[in-house]
Amino acid sequence: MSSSKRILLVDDSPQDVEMTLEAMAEDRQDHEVITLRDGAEALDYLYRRNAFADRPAGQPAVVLLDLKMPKVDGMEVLRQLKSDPQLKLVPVVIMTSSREEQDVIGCYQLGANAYVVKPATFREFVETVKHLVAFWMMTNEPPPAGGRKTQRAGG
Amino acid sequence: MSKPTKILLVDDDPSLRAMTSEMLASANYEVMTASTGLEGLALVRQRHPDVVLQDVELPDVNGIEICRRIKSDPEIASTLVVIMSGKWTSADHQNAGLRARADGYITRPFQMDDFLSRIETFARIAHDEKLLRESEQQAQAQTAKLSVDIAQLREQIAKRRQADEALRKSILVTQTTLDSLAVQIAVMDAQGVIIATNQAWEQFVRDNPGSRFDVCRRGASYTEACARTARAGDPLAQQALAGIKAVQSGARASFELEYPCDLPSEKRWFAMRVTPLGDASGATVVTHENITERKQAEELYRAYLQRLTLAAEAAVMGVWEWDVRTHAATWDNRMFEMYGLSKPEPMTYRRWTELVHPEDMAKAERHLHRVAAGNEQAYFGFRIIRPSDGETRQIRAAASAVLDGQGQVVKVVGVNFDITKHKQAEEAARENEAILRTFFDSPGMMRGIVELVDGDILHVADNAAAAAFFGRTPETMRHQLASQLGMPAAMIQSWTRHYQESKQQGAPVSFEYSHAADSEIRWWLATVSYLAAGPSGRERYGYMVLDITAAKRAEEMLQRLNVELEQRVKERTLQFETVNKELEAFTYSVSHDLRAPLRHIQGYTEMLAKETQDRLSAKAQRHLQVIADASEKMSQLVDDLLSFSRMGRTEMHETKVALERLVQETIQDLEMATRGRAITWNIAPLPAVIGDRSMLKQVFANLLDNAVKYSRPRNPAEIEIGCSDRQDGWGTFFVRDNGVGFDMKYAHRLFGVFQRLHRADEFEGTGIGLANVRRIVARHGGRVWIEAAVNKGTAVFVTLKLSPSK
Repeated sequence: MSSSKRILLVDDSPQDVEMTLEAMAEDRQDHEVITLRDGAEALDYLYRRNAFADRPAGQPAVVLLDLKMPKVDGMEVLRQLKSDPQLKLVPVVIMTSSREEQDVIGCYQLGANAYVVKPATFREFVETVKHLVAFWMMTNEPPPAGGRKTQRAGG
Repeated sequence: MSKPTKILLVDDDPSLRAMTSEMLASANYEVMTASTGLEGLALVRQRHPDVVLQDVELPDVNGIEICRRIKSDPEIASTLVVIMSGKWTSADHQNAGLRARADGYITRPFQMDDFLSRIETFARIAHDEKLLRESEQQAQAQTAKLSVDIAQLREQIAKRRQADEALRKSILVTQTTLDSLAVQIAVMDAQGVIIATNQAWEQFVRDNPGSRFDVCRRGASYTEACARTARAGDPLAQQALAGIKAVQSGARASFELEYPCDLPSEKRWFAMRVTPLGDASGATVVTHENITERKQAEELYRAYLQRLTLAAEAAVMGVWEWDVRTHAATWDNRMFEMYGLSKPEPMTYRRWTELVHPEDMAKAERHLHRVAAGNEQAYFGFRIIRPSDGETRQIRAAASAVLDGQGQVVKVVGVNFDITKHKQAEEAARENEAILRTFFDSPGMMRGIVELVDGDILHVADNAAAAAFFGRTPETMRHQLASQLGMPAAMIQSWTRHYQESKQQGAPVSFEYSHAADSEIRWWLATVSYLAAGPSGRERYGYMVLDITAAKRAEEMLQRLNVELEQRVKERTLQFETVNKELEAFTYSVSHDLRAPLRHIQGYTEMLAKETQDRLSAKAQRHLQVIADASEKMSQLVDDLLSFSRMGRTEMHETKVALERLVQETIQDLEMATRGRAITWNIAPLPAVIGDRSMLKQVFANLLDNAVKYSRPRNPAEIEIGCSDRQDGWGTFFVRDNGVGFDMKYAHRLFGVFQRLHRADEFEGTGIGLANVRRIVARHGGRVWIEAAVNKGTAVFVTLKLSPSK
């Protein structure tokens, strides 16, 4: 677990989830993917509460977050995440069907680390997912878990 | 003038009297003054001034009345009366003066020079008239005396004729009888030798020794004496000689001749008469009669006429004379001039009647005939029509009779005076008065003139509309104070303030006010302005008031409507915003919810294809391909719809856009579509426009893409871009191709979303392009239209706002 990093995939569409996982499977990388169906579950997971109170400690290397979801939508999850000093360092990549300007700008303003429009064709979709995983899991250096936050809080 | 003209100045104003008197004295007139009408009248009777300068408004008797009294008293009627007034200047007043037979007018105030020159004219007229009167009286007296003499003479001649008769009957005529006659009598024989004389003849010859009569003694030849004088060149002597011979020969029954005779003793006129003696001897009787006195009277009359002519000349009058027996008339040059006759012509009474206006003829003749019948004088007016220019002139005339010794009228003489200009001025004044009166009285607007008196407002003159407002008539409102008319004190103060303000500002002042009248509020617009000081010395102001209640109500209504309208606009805007928000929400949901299933269809189709690659039949594989193509197409449609929707909502950033560069860029962007194609681009110089650059880019991208696409079957394709019209700051731009075109009857469908005129297998596309073009151009305030024909190409026109050229 410590050797392989976790990906948190939050999407209410089982088809999108399946297609995402299919794409990841093509690369045969051994990343742990946790899939959640809505924003409420995502927040519970991140705060280790309710159904996820007993989950192992540590935050995912990246959160792939859909916007339009039942209960708590992606924008709200992002807002809570980025306004919490303990969670704001967790990288969040928005993955959505919307290319509406208001969504793009809104997400960046709330502190999203990337914004990806789900491509229409399956081929492109697969390529995009592969690139994302490769970048966030291999190329990108994630923030150190827990180490700096006390320092920052103390400072 | 030997004696200074005497002028009586009647004026109740001491300072004016002193000033005028001093002016006159400085011009060497003898001035006397009076301060009341009756005092003046008494002075006229006592001291006989030549000219009276008569003020009108006097404390006791009005000047016009004084004038009338002077003119109706024969003793003093000849005094020249000049009305002098600063107030009595209207035509009516001057007419009153004319009726009172005033001789002239002087209007105050006057310039000293003008005044004195007018006074001088009046003085000269007074002087001339005086002279005329005197010579006329003298002439009449002498004529009367002479006619008595003539009557005596006639009697004598009658007697003499009886004597002649007796002489013819009997040769025994006693010398005594002849001698008793004052007439000089001589008898000539057939040879002209004087054979008998009476005592008067002999006395005359004796009294004038050395004259040509010296030779006319008894026994001398009378005809010889005449012949001598005739030979010396005296035409009268020649006439006399011829006359005598005619009587002697029996050719004439008698001969008479009047001739002047400058005797050594005195200047005389004689009448000579020659008659046959009546016997067979051929003898004739010569009588000489002294007619000097009659001749002198005639000369006086001529002098009188001459003076009259001179006076008339000075007064710009024409002088005429009418012989009532012969109806011959004599005119001076000014008469001809006045009557528009280019040169003097023989004048008769009949000719004169032709020149008088037919309507005035009867009246003028009545006056003339009254004078001819023995009335002394007449003053009258009539019109003439001038033959030279057809103009009508107003004439004033005076006529007076000339009597002979028996009191018979022989002539009527008089003057004519052209008063056309005077009359015209009077009429113009009346016309002006009428115009102003009409304006003043025009209904619907209250007008009036007021004076400010001790915090109150004195109404000097008001029109009927204003009077009606106070429940009065203009007459009963005159000289009423506003407080008497029932105007509240606060209102009087307010009006007074506005009047004063208009004087201070030197301009009219307008204000609005309202009154509650008959349980409704009425609004008024008043304008007041300072006029000038009135005769009372108080300042006068004019006012105008207009009822603007209707306008006010309309204004209020308009305001109410505006408020309502604004409210409605707000409501509509709110509704519009709501609809817009709903639309945005719809679009948002479409962009998310419509895309996801499409992606899933595509994803799962591909996954299915991958899973079953080798196991599916060719037919099944083709079905999978159709599903993939359809979903891709659907995906494109959704994207276009979203971009179209975005176009309507995106904020515009207007700048100056260099259209030519924008077109070039667009053509470069089309490289993929144009690669391998033969396209001739004709791009005219394009002016810069005002607009959102990225939106305009999209317009031209769509238009050029269409042009390239629909000209695909052409080789070479021709695409033209230009500006066809510039007007009122707008340019019309077009993109024209020689492509497949279309039937214009479908043109109306072209700008709808997803409307297409070609099948997808002919020309690709979703049909969103022109809809986008129209939406963008409309947002820029412009228009889009299209011209096309099947196989003849297409031209799309757009209008865009031109950038102001610098």
